[in-house]
Amino acid sequence: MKDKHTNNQEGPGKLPAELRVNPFAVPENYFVELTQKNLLRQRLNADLKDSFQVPEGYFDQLQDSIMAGIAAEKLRAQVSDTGYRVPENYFETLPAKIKAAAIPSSPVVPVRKLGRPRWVQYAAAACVTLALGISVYFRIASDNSTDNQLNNVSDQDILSYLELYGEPDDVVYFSEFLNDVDERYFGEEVNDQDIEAYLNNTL
Amino acid sequence: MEDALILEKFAVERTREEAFGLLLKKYQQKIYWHIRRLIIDHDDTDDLVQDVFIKVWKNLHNFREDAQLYTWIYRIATNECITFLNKKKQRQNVSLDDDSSTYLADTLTDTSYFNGNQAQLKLQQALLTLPEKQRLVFNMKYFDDLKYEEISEIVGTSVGALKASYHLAVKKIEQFFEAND
Repeated sequence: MKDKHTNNQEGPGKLPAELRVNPFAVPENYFVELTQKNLLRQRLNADLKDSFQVPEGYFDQLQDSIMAGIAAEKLRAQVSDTGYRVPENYFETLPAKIKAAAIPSSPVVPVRKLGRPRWVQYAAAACVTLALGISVYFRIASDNSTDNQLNNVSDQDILSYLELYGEPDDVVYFSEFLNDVDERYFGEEVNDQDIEAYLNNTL
Repeated sequence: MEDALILEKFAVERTREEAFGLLLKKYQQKIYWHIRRLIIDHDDTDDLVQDVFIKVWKNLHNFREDAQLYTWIYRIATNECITFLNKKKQRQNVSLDDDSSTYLADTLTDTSYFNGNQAQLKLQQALLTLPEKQRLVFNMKYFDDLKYEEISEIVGTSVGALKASYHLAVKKIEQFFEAND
């Protein structure tokens, strides 16, 4: 019967029986742990492979990047500077120029609002009231003055005025207000001759 | 001087001017050359540098520290340059769709502050045949040695697109040198 630890397939005729036993041993549970280790390593490899990724289209661009880098280096060996120059001491004077343009020359002083004395407000209100009062007074006074002035004109003057400047329409106008006049006193102070003379001249 | 310290000083009214002075000292030359390479003419560059730093002075209090200070200043400078170049195109009746920079060729030959050698002149001439975006990316990568991530922050374009722009620019310049040997 073949020993389970030997790989000798040739049968009992080739090796002595005592040599047909495998002399090597492995630690306890070695093969169980080996399987577990292999499985773990395999999983780790798979995880690592997934964790490293490149941007989409990276390898297409990589060649261009390398070629551009080489070309730029060659170019830099020939030209590393623009060749532009600035006026002498330009950068020494530039900060002052910029500061002068950017920062207001004198600091802004806040204007403090001074409180006006209260009596000024009262005085102003009094002035306005006084001005209004005077203008209203003279307006009323001027309205009354027409009657007052007419009272001072004699009947004769009124008649003379009407004789000179009266028009035929005046009769119509007067007739409209005839009913408003207290007839008891109408014509009391005018004599008949005057009325007759007026009528003769105006009609 | 660290940017953080400059910003700290700028936040305090008493030390604001001092901080601005430090910022100018640190960045004026970088910004000047960034603008000059795009605009070519010294006097125009001088005006733009001042405009850029006036904007920095006015807006630095709004600066958010989630970006780098120098990329923020570069971005202001780049925008000022693009605006200036568009205006210049309009003045010279060049279509805004024409994105090459050949209209600046006269400026290159007229500028009084250029004393480069033949190779330097040829490189600048080659650059003026490029579209503005490629010229911008090439300058920042080649002369300023900025990283693509930094350029991306400045011009607001993806890193992939920037790389493609740079590779194209290098290839075209190479071809220009070969053709004009």
